[in-house]
Amino acid sequence: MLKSRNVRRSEENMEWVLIVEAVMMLLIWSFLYRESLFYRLGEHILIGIYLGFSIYMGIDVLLKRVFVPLLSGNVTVGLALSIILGFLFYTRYVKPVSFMSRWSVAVLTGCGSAVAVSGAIKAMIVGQLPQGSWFAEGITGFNNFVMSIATVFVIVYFLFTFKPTRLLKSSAKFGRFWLMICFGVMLGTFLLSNIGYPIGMAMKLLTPPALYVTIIAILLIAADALYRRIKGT
Amino acid sequence: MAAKTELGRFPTADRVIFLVFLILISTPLVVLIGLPIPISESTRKSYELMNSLKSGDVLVMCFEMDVGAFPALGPGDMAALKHAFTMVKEKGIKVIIFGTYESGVKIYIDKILQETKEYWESLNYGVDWVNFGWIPGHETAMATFARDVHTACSVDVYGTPVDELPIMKDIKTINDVTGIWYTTYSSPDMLPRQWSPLEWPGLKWTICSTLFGTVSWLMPYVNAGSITSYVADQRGGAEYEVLIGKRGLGCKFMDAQSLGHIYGIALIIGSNVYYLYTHAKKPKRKEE
Repeated sequence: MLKSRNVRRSEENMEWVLIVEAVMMLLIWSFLYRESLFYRLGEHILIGIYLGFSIYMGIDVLLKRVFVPLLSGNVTVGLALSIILGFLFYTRYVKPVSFMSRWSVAVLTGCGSAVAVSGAIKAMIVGQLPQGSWFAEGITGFNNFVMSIATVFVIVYFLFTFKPTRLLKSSAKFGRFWLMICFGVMLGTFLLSNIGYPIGMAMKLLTPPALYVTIIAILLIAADALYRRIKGT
Repeated sequence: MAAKTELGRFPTADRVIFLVFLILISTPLVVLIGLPIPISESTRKSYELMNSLKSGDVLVMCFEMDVGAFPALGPGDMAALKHAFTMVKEKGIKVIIFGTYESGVKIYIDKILQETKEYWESLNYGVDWVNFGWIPGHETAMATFARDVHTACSVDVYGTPVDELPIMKDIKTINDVTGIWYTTYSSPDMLPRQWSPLEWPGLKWTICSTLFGTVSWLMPYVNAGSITSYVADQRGGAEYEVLIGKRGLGCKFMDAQSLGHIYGIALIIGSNVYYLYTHAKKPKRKEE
Protein backbone atom coordinates (compact mmCIF):
# COMPACT_ATOMS: atom_id res chain seq x y z
CA MET A 1 0.00 0.00 0.00
CA LEU A 2 1.24 3.43 -0.87
CA LYS A 3 1.87 5.74 2.07
CA SER A 4 1.63 9.52 2.14
CA ARG A 5 5.22 10.70 1.86
CA ASN A 6 6.71 13.88 3.14
CA VAL A 7 9.09 16.22 1.40
CA ARG A 8 12.45 15.24 2.77
CA ARG A 9 13.50 18.50 4.38
CA SER A 10 12.64 18.31 8.07
CA GLU A 11 11.03 21.11 10.06
CA GLU A 12 13.95 21.34 12.53
CA ASN A 13 16.40 22.18 9.77
CA MET A 14 14.29 25.02 8.36
CA GLU A 15 15.98 27.70 10.50
CA TRP A 16 19.39 26.68 9.22
CA VAL A 17 18.06 26.60 5.67
CA LEU A 18 16.80 30.19 6.05
CA ILE A 19 20.14 31.36 7.46
CA VAL A 20 22.12 29.70 4.66
CA GLU A 21 19.68 31.17 2.10
CA ALA A 22 20.17 34.65 3.57
CA VAL A 23 23.97 34.32 3.65
CA MET A 24 24.03 33.23 0.00
CA MET A 25 21.69 36.05 -1.07
CA LEU A 26 23.75 38.67 0.75
CA LEU A 27 27.02 37.30 -0.65
CA ILE A 28 25.63 37.81 -4.16
CA TRP A 29 23.92 41.12 -3.39
CA SER A 30 27.17 42.46 -1.94
CA PHE A 31 28.08 43.06 -5.59
CA LEU A 32 25.76 46.09 -5.49
CA TYR A 33 28.12 47.66 -2.93
CA ARG A 34 31.32 46.56 -4.63
CA GLU A 35 32.83 43.41 -6.05
CA SER A 36 34.58 41.61 -3.24
CA LEU A 37 35.90 38.25 -2.19
CA PHE A 38 32.54 37.62 -0.50
CA TYR A 39 30.76 38.07 -3.82
CA ARG A 40 33.28 35.85 -5.60
CA LEU A 41 32.83 33.18 -2.91
CA GLY A 42 29.04 33.31 -3.29
CA GLU A 43 29.32 33.17 -7.08
CA HIS A 44 31.56 30.09 -7.03
CA ILE A 45 29.48 28.30 -4.40
CA LEU A 46 26.26 28.89 -6.37
CA ILE A 47 27.70 27.72 -9.69
CA GLY A 48 29.27 24.70 -7.97
CA ILE A 49 26.04 23.75 -6.23
CA TYR A 50 24.04 24.18 -9.42
CA LEU A 51 26.39 21.98 -11.44
CA GLY A 52 26.57 19.43 -8.65
CA PHE A 53 22.81 19.30 -8.41
CA SER A 54 22.47 18.91 -12.19
CA ILE A 55 24.84 15.95 -12.11
CA TYR A 56 22.94 14.45 -9.17
CA MET A 57 19.63 14.83 -11.01
CA GLY A 58 21.11 13.36 -14.18
CA ILE A 59 22.34 10.30 -12.30
CA ASP A 60 19.03 10.03 -10.42
CA VAL A 61 17.05 10.05 -13.67
CA LEU A 62 19.41 7.52 -15.28
CA LEU A 63 19.10 5.27 -12.25
CA LYS A 64 15.29 5.36 -12.11
CA ARG A 65 14.49 5.43 -15.80
CA VAL A 66 17.37 3.45 -17.33
CA PHE A 67 19.34 1.24 -14.95
CA VAL A 68 16.42 -0.07 -12.88
CA PRO A 69 14.35 -1.14 -15.96
CA LEU A 70 17.53 -2.49 -17.55
CA LEU A 71 18.42 -4.65 -14.55
CA SER A 72 14.84 -5.80 -14.02
CA GLY A 73 14.60 -6.91 -17.65
CA ASN A 74 11.97 -4.36 -18.76
CA VAL A 75 13.90 -3.25 -21.80
CA THR A 76 11.84 -1.69 -24.59
CA VAL A 77 13.06 -0.82 -28.08
CA GLY A 78 12.87 2.90 -27.22
CA LEU A 79 14.94 2.44 -24.07
CA ALA A 80 17.55 0.33 -25.89
CA LEU A 81 17.86 2.95 -28.65
CA SER A 82 18.19 5.75 -26.09
CA ILE A 83 20.97 3.89 -24.28
CA ILE A 84 22.86 3.22 -27.53
CA LEU A 85 22.49 6.83 -28.70
CA GLY A 86 23.53 8.04 -25.24
CA PHE A 87 26.72 6.00 -25.34
CA LEU A 88 27.46 7.18 -28.87
CA PHE A 89 27.90 10.70 -27.47
CA TYR A 90 31.12 9.54 -25.81
CA THR A 91 32.64 8.25 -29.05
CA ARG A 92 33.83 11.81 -29.69
CA TYR A 93 36.70 11.04 -27.32
CA VAL A 94 37.88 8.15 -29.55
CA LYS A 95 39.16 9.70 -32.76
CA PRO A 96 38.61 6.81 -35.26
CA VAL A 97 34.91 6.56 -34.34
CA SER A 98 34.28 10.15 -33.26
CA PHE A 99 31.92 10.72 -36.22
CA MET A 100 29.39 8.45 -34.48
CA SER A 101 28.74 11.09 -31.81
CA ARG A 102 27.12 13.20 -34.54
CA TRP A 103 24.40 10.58 -34.96
CA SER A 104 23.15 11.21 -31.44
CA VAL A 105 23.26 14.96 -31.99
CA ALA A 106 21.41 14.51 -35.30
CA VAL A 107 18.66 12.41 -33.69
CA LEU A 108 18.28 14.87 -30.79
CA THR A 109 18.13 17.90 -33.08
CA GLY A 110 15.86 16.16 -35.58
CA CYS A 111 13.39 14.94 -32.95
CA GLY A 112 13.37 18.28 -31.15
CA SER A 113 12.77 20.25 -34.35
CA ALA A 114 10.13 17.81 -35.59
CA VAL A 115 8.20 17.97 -32.33
CA ALA A 116 8.38 21.78 -32.19
CA VAL A 117 7.56 22.40 -35.85
CA SER A 118 4.67 19.93 -35.97
CA GLY A 119 3.06 21.67 -32.99
CA ALA A 120 3.92 25.15 -34.23
CA ILE A 121 2.12 24.95 -37.59
CA LYS A 122 -1.33 24.79 -36.04
CA ALA A 123 -0.86 26.90 -32.91
CA MET A 124 1.47 29.59 -34.23
CA ILE A 125 0.48 29.93 -37.90
CA VAL A 126 -2.90 28.38 -38.82
CA GLY A 127 -4.41 29.18 -35.41
CA GLN A 128 -3.47 32.86 -35.71
CA LEU A 129 -5.00 33.44 -39.16
CA PRO A 130 -8.71 33.65 -38.20
CA GLN A 131 -7.96 36.45 -35.72
CA GLY A 132 -7.32 39.08 -38.34
CA SER A 133 -10.85 40.45 -38.96
CA TRP A 134 -10.73 44.26 -39.07
CA PHE A 135 -14.50 44.38 -38.53
CA ALA A 136 -14.56 42.55 -35.21
CA GLU A 137 -16.51 44.21 -32.41
CA GLY A 138 -15.06 46.99 -30.27
CA ILE A 139 -11.35 47.58 -29.91
CA THR A 140 -10.56 44.08 -31.26
CA GLY A 141 -11.22 45.20 -34.85
CA PHE A 142 -8.84 48.13 -34.47
CA ASN A 143 -6.23 45.88 -32.80
CA ASN A 144 -6.48 43.41 -35.67
CA PHE A 145 -6.07 46.23 -38.16
CA VAL A 146 -2.93 47.47 -36.40
CA MET A 147 -1.64 43.89 -36.15
CA SER A 148 -2.10 43.29 -39.90
CA ILE A 149 -0.44 46.56 -40.87
CA ALA A 150 2.46 46.00 -38.45
CA THR A 151 2.97 42.42 -39.68
CA VAL A 152 3.24 43.54 -43.31
CA PHE A 153 5.69 46.36 -42.61
CA VAL A 154 7.87 44.27 -40.29
CA ILE A 155 8.08 41.55 -42.94
CA VAL A 156 9.14 44.24 -45.44
CA TYR A 157 11.91 45.25 -43.03
CA PHE A 158 13.32 41.73 -43.22
CA LEU A 159 12.91 41.47 -46.98
CA PHE A 160 16.38 41.17 -48.47
CA THR A 161 15.47 39.42 -51.73
CA PHE A 162 14.68 42.51 -53.81
CA LYS A 163 16.73 45.57 -54.59
CA PRO A 164 15.48 48.29 -52.21
CA THR A 165 13.30 50.82 -54.02
CA ARG A 166 12.13 54.08 -52.45
CA LEU A 167 8.79 52.50 -51.48
CA LEU A 168 10.46 49.45 -49.94
CA LYS A 169 12.91 51.64 -48.04
CA SER A 170 10.19 53.82 -46.49
CA SER A 171 8.08 50.74 -45.71
CA ALA A 172 11.08 49.11 -44.01
CA LYS A 173 11.58 52.27 -41.97
CA PHE A 174 7.95 52.09 -40.86
CA GLY A 175 8.49 48.39 -40.02
CA ARG A 176 11.47 49.35 -37.86
CA PHE A 177 9.21 51.77 -36.02
CA TRP A 178 6.85 48.89 -35.13
CA LEU A 179 9.77 46.73 -34.05
CA MET A 180 10.97 49.49 -31.73
CA ILE A 181 7.52 49.75 -30.13
CA CYS A 182 7.38 45.98 -29.69
CA PHE A 183 10.87 45.72 -28.17
CA GLY A 184 10.12 48.69 -25.91
CA VAL A 185 6.98 47.00 -24.60
CA MET A 186 8.85 43.71 -24.06
CA LEU A 187 11.76 45.41 -22.29
CA GLY A 188 9.46 47.49 -20.10
CA THR A 189 7.28 44.58 -19.04
CA PHE A 190 10.28 42.31 -18.39
CA LEU A 191 11.94 45.03 -16.32
CA LEU A 192 8.81 45.48 -14.25
CA SER A 193 8.17 41.75 -13.88
CA ASN A 194 11.74 41.21 -12.69
CA ILE A 195 11.03 43.51 -9.75
CA GLY A 196 9.18 40.55 -8.26
CA TYR A 197 12.44 38.63 -7.69
CA PRO A 198 14.18 41.05 -5.27
CA ILE A 199 10.87 41.67 -3.46
CA GLY A 200 10.58 38.00 -2.58
CA MET A 201 14.19 37.89 -1.48
CA ALA A 202 13.93 41.11 0.53
CA MET A 203 10.97 39.57 2.34
CA LYS A 204 13.17 36.68 3.46
CA LEU A 205 15.99 38.97 4.50
CA LEU A 206 13.66 40.98 6.72
CA THR A 207 12.25 37.97 8.56
CA PRO A 208 14.11 36.36 11.52
CA PRO A 209 16.45 34.48 11.63
CA ALA A 210 17.64 35.88 8.24
CA LEU A 211 17.13 39.42 9.62
CA TYR A 212 20.08 38.95 12.02
CA VAL A 213 22.31 37.97 9.10
CA THR A 214 21.10 41.09 7.22
CA ILE A 215 21.97 43.33 10.19
CA ILE A 216 25.47 41.82 10.41
CA ALA A 217 25.93 42.37 6.65
CA ILE A 218 24.80 46.03 6.86
CA LEU A 219 27.20 46.64 9.78
CA LEU A 220 30.08 45.04 7.86
CA ILE A 221 29.36 47.17 4.78
CA ALA A 222 29.11 50.32 6.92
CA ALA A 223 32.41 49.50 8.63
CA ASP A 224 34.09 48.86 5.30
CA ALA A 225 32.76 52.13 3.82
CA LEU A 226 33.99 54.05 6.88
CA TYR A 227 37.40 52.36 6.77
CA ARG A 228 37.77 53.19 3.08
CA ARG A 229 36.77 56.81 3.67
CA ILE A 230 39.35 57.19 6.45
CA LYS A 231 41.99 55.44 4.36
CA GLY A 232 41.02 57.51 1.34
CA THR A 233 40.57 54.61 -1.13
CA MET B 1 49.39 31.16 -13.90
CA ALA B 2 46.05 32.92 -14.19
CA ALA B 3 46.15 36.69 -14.49
CA LYS B 4 44.94 38.57 -11.43
CA THR B 5 41.59 40.14 -12.18
CA GLU B 6 40.67 43.49 -10.75
CA LEU B 7 37.65 43.70 -8.49
CA GLY B 8 35.18 46.27 -9.81
CA ARG B 9 32.32 48.34 -8.51
CA PHE B 10 29.29 50.14 -9.87
CA PRO B 11 29.29 53.91 -10.44
CA THR B 12 27.93 55.87 -7.46
CA ALA B 13 24.71 56.82 -9.34
CA ASP B 14 23.91 53.13 -9.96
CA ARG B 15 24.57 52.27 -6.33
CA VAL B 16 22.23 55.02 -5.17
CA ILE B 17 19.54 53.76 -7.59
CA PHE B 18 19.86 50.22 -6.17
CA LEU B 19 19.90 51.46 -2.58
CA VAL B 20 16.75 53.58 -3.05
CA PHE B 21 15.08 50.60 -4.77
CA LEU B 22 15.93 48.25 -1.89
CA ILE B 23 14.67 50.74 0.69
CA LEU B 24 11.48 51.31 -1.32
CA ILE B 25 10.61 47.63 -1.70
CA SER B 26 11.59 46.77 1.88
CA THR B 27 9.47 49.46 3.55
CA PRO B 28 6.02 47.99 2.72
CA LEU B 29 7.26 44.55 3.79
CA VAL B 30 7.81 45.96 7.28
CA VAL B 31 5.04 48.59 7.41
CA LEU B 32 2.02 47.21 5.55
CA ILE B 33 0.30 49.83 3.35
CA GLY B 34 -2.59 47.53 2.38
CA LEU B 35 -3.40 48.77 -1.11
CA PRO B 36 -6.57 47.11 -2.52
CA ILE B 37 -6.12 44.16 -4.88
CA PRO B 38 -8.78 44.27 -7.62
CA ILE B 39 -9.28 40.93 -9.39
CA SER B 40 -8.44 40.88 -13.09
CA GLU B 41 -10.70 39.11 -15.57
CA SER B 42 -8.04 36.54 -16.52
CA THR B 43 -7.34 35.47 -12.91
CA ARG B 44 -11.06 35.22 -12.18
CA LYS B 45 -11.54 33.07 -15.27
CA SER B 46 -8.60 30.86 -14.23
CA TYR B 47 -10.10 30.43 -10.76
CA GLU B 48 -13.51 29.56 -12.21
CA LEU B 49 -11.96 27.00 -14.56
CA MET B 50 -10.13 25.35 -11.68
CA ASN B 51 -13.25 25.49 -9.55
CA SER B 52 -15.31 23.80 -12.30
CA LEU B 53 -13.43 20.52 -11.80
CA LYS B 54 -15.70 17.67 -10.72
CA SER B 55 -15.21 14.33 -9.00
CA GLY B 56 -12.87 12.09 -11.00
CA ASP B 57 -11.52 14.95 -13.13
CA VAL B 58 -7.75 15.00 -13.61
CA LEU B 59 -5.71 18.18 -13.14
CA VAL B 60 -2.11 18.31 -14.39
CA MET B 61 0.14 20.90 -12.75
CA CYS B 62 3.30 21.37 -14.78
CA PHE B 63 5.95 23.73 -13.42
CA GLU B 64 8.53 24.77 -16.04
CA MET B 65 10.87 26.77 -13.88
CA ASP B 66 13.74 26.95 -11.45
CA VAL B 67 13.52 27.74 -7.76
CA GLY B 68 15.06 31.17 -8.53
CA ALA B 69 11.70 32.28 -9.93
CA PHE B 70 9.91 31.37 -6.71
CA PRO B 71 9.34 34.98 -5.55
CA ALA B 72 7.60 35.87 -8.82
CA LEU B 73 5.52 32.81 -9.58
CA GLY B 74 5.58 30.85 -6.33
CA PRO B 75 2.65 32.71 -4.70
CA GLY B 76 0.34 31.89 -7.64
CA ASP B 77 1.47 28.29 -7.80
CA MET B 78 1.06 27.77 -4.08
CA ALA B 79 -2.43 29.31 -4.17
CA ALA B 80 -3.36 27.04 -7.09
CA LEU B 81 -1.90 24.00 -5.28
CA LYS B 82 -3.88 24.84 -2.13
CA HIS B 83 -7.00 25.19 -4.26
CA ALA B 84 -6.29 21.91 -6.06
CA PHE B 85 -5.61 19.93 -2.87
CA THR B 86 -8.75 21.38 -1.25
CA MET B 87 -10.71 20.16 -4.27
CA VAL B 88 -9.08 16.73 -3.97
CA LYS B 89 -10.47 16.56 -0.45
CA GLU B 90 -13.88 18.10 -1.14
CA LYS B 91 -14.70 17.01 -4.69
CA GLY B 92 -12.44 14.03 -5.31
CA ILE B 93 -10.40 15.37 -8.24
CA LYS B 94 -6.97 13.88 -9.07
CA VAL B 95 -3.77 15.92 -9.26
CA ILE B 96 -0.61 15.07 -11.24
CA ILE B 97 2.48 17.20 -10.60
CA PHE B 98 5.70 17.39 -12.63
CA GLY B 99 8.02 19.66 -14.62
CA THR B 100 10.07 19.10 -17.78
CA TYR B 101 12.19 22.22 -18.17
CA GLU B 102 15.37 21.53 -16.21
CA SER B 103 16.60 19.66 -13.16
CA GLY B 104 15.97 22.69 -10.89
CA VAL B 105 12.26 21.99 -11.33
CA LYS B 106 12.55 19.32 -8.64
CA ILE B 107 13.74 21.81 -6.00
CA TYR B 108 10.94 24.18 -6.98
CA ILE B 109 8.29 21.47 -6.65
CA ASP B 110 9.76 20.36 -3.31
CA LYS B 111 9.67 23.99 -2.13
CA ILE B 112 6.03 24.64 -3.01
CA LEU B 113 4.99 21.26 -1.61
CA GLN B 114 6.81 22.06 1.62
CA GLU B 115 4.92 25.35 1.84
CA THR B 116 1.54 23.65 1.23
CA LYS B 117 2.21 20.59 3.39
CA GLU B 118 -0.91 20.94 5.55
CA TYR B 119 -3.10 20.64 2.45
CA TRP B 120 -1.70 17.35 1.11
CA GLU B 121 -0.58 15.65 4.31
CA SER B 122 -3.92 13.96 4.89
CA LEU B 123 -4.34 12.92 1.25
CA ASN B 124 -3.48 9.51 -0.11
CA TYR B 125 -0.33 9.74 -2.20
CA GLY B 126 -0.55 7.70 -5.40
CA VAL B 127 -4.33 7.59 -5.21
CA ASP B 128 -5.37 11.26 -4.87
CA TRP B 129 -2.24 12.90 -6.17
CA VAL B 130 1.18 12.06 -7.52
CA ASN B 131 4.50 13.86 -8.03
CA PHE B 132 6.69 12.84 -10.98
CA GLY B 133 9.35 15.49 -10.26
CA TRP B 134 11.55 16.30 -13.21
CA ILE B 135 10.77 14.54 -16.50
CA PRO B 136 13.73 15.30 -18.79
CA GLY B 137 13.18 16.41 -22.36
CA HIS B 138 11.19 19.63 -22.09
CA GLU B 139 9.02 19.94 -25.24
CA THR B 140 9.74 16.38 -26.34
CA ALA B 141 8.63 15.16 -22.92
CA MET B 142 5.47 17.26 -23.21
CA ALA B 143 4.73 15.78 -26.62
CA THR B 144 5.29 12.27 -25.24
CA PHE B 145 3.03 13.01 -22.26
CA ALA B 146 0.25 14.06 -24.64
CA ARG B 147 0.40 10.82 -26.63
CA ASP B 148 1.54 8.26 -24.04
CA VAL B 149 1.38 9.35 -20.40
CA HIS B 150 2.84 6.10 -19.06
CA THR B 151 5.97 6.39 -21.19
CA ALA B 152 6.58 10.01 -20.21
CA CYS B 153 5.84 9.38 -16.53
CA SER B 154 7.42 5.94 -16.17
CA VAL B 155 8.45 6.42 -12.50
CA ASP B 156 7.41 8.93 -9.86
CA VAL B 157 9.81 11.08 -7.86
CA TYR B 158 10.35 8.24 -5.34
CA GLY B 159 11.08 5.65 -8.03
CA THR B 160 7.66 3.96 -7.93
CA PRO B 161 6.79 2.53 -11.37
CA VAL B 162 3.72 4.15 -12.97
CA ASP B 163 1.88 0.80 -13.10
CA GLU B 164 1.93 0.64 -9.30
CA LEU B 165 0.24 4.06 -8.95
CA PRO B 166 -3.56 3.61 -8.82
CA ILE B 167 -4.19 7.24 -9.84
CA MET B 168 -2.52 6.61 -13.21
CA LYS B 169 -4.54 3.49 -14.08
CA ASP B 170 -7.02 5.24 -16.41
CA ILE B 171 -4.82 8.09 -17.58
CA LYS B 172 -3.30 6.99 -20.87
CA THR B 173 -3.18 10.14 -23.03
CA ILE B 174 -3.78 13.85 -22.52
CA ASN B 175 -7.40 13.26 -23.56
CA ASP B 176 -7.90 11.70 -20.11
CA VAL B 177 -6.81 14.96 -18.49
CA THR B 178 -9.46 17.63 -17.82
CA GLY B 179 -7.34 20.72 -17.22
CA ILE B 180 -3.73 21.87 -17.10
CA TRP B 181 -2.10 24.47 -14.87
CA TYR B 182 1.17 25.33 -16.63
CA THR B 183 3.72 27.65 -15.03
CA THR B 184 6.62 29.02 -17.04
CA TYR B 185 9.21 31.72 -16.45
CA SER B 186 10.45 31.57 -20.03
CA SER B 187 8.66 30.90 -23.31
CA PRO B 188 4.97 29.91 -23.18
CA ASP B 189 5.12 28.59 -26.78
CA MET B 190 5.38 24.93 -25.76
CA LEU B 191 1.97 24.93 -24.10
CA PRO B 192 -0.17 25.72 -27.20
CA ARG B 193 2.21 23.73 -29.41
CA GLN B 194 1.83 20.49 -27.46
CA TRP B 195 -1.17 20.76 -25.14
CA SER B 196 -3.76 22.83 -26.95
CA PRO B 197 -7.42 22.18 -26.05
CA LEU B 198 -8.19 22.82 -29.74
CA GLU B 199 -5.98 19.89 -30.66
CA TRP B 200 -6.99 17.39 -27.94
CA PRO B 201 -10.78 17.00 -27.59
CA GLY B 202 -10.58 15.46 -24.09
CA LEU B 203 -8.58 18.36 -22.68
CA LYS B 204 -11.07 21.05 -21.61
CA TRP B 205 -8.77 23.95 -20.75
CA THR B 206 -5.24 25.14 -20.04
CA ILE B 207 -4.12 27.94 -17.73
CA CYS B 208 -0.71 29.56 -18.12
CA SER B 209 0.85 31.15 -15.05
CA THR B 210 3.66 33.38 -16.21
CA LEU B 211 5.65 36.60 -15.80
CA PHE B 212 4.26 40.02 -16.79
CA GLY B 213 6.81 40.23 -19.57
CA THR B 214 5.42 37.10 -21.18
CA VAL B 215 1.75 38.11 -21.12
CA SER B 216 1.96 40.07 -24.38
CA TRP B 217 3.68 36.98 -25.82
CA LEU B 218 0.86 34.60 -24.90
CA MET B 219 -2.10 36.90 -25.71
CA PRO B 220 -2.33 35.75 -29.38
CA TYR B 221 -2.69 32.17 -28.08
CA VAL B 222 -5.36 33.20 -25.57
CA ASN B 223 -7.27 35.05 -28.31
CA ALA B 224 -7.02 32.00 -30.57
CA GLY B 225 -8.18 29.68 -27.78
CA SER B 226 -5.09 27.49 -27.71
CA ILE B 227 -4.49 28.75 -24.15
CA THR B 228 -7.74 29.22 -22.24
CA SER B 229 -6.65 31.67 -19.56
CA TYR B 230 -3.62 33.01 -17.71
CA VAL B 231 -2.43 34.21 -14.31
CA ALA B 232 0.09 37.04 -14.50
CA ASP B 233 3.07 37.10 -12.18
CA GLN B 234 3.02 37.94 -8.45
CA ARG B 235 0.00 40.16 -9.05
CA GLY B 236 -2.02 37.25 -10.49
CA GLY B 237 -0.84 35.11 -7.57
CA ALA B 238 -2.10 37.69 -5.08
CA GLU B 239 -5.45 37.88 -6.89
CA TYR B 240 -5.72 34.08 -6.79
CA GLU B 241 -4.98 34.12 -3.06
CA VAL B 242 -7.83 36.61 -2.57
CA LEU B 243 -10.17 34.43 -4.64
CA ILE B 244 -9.50 31.27 -2.64
CA GLY B 245 -9.71 33.29 0.60
CA LYS B 246 -6.20 32.41 1.74
CA ARG B 247 -4.05 35.53 1.69
CA GLY B 248 -0.37 34.64 1.62
CA LEU B 249 2.96 35.71 0.17
CA GLY B 250 1.44 37.21 -3.00
CA CYS B 251 -0.72 39.71 -1.09
CA LYS B 252 2.24 40.65 1.12
CA PHE B 253 4.33 41.43 -1.96
CA MET B 254 1.75 43.64 -3.67
CA ASP B 255 2.50 46.94 -1.89
CA ALA B 256 6.21 46.49 -2.47
CA GLN B 257 5.59 45.67 -6.11
CA SER B 258 3.42 48.75 -6.64
CA LEU B 259 6.16 50.98 -5.20
CA GLY B 260 8.79 49.13 -7.24
CA HIS B 261 6.79 49.64 -10.43
CA ILE B 262 6.28 53.36 -9.75
CA TYR B 263 10.02 53.67 -9.11
CA GLY B 264 10.81 51.72 -12.32
CA ILE B 265 8.51 53.93 -14.42
CA ALA B 266 9.95 57.06 -12.82
CA LEU B 267 13.49 55.86 -13.65
CA ILE B 268 12.54 55.14 -17.28
CA ILE B 269 10.95 58.60 -17.69
CA GLY B 270 13.77 60.32 -15.75
CA SER B 271 16.56 58.69 -17.74
CA ASN B 272 14.85 59.53 -21.05
CA VAL B 273 14.35 63.16 -20.01
CA TYR B 274 18.00 63.31 -18.90
CA TYR B 275 19.13 61.79 -22.19
CA LEU B 276 17.06 64.22 -24.26
CA TYR B 277 18.27 67.16 -22.16
CA THR B 278 21.96 66.28 -22.50
CA HIS B 279 21.48 65.36 -26.17
CA ALA B 280 19.85 68.73 -26.91
CA LYS B 281 22.71 70.56 -25.22
CA LYS B 282 25.38 68.83 -27.30
CA PRO B 283 26.32 70.64 -30.55
CA LYS B 284 25.18 68.69 -33.61
CA ARG B 285 27.91 67.03 -35.68
CA LYS B 286 28.32 68.51 -39.09
CA GLU B 287 27.68 66.13 -42.01
CA GLU B 288 30.87 65.55 -43.92
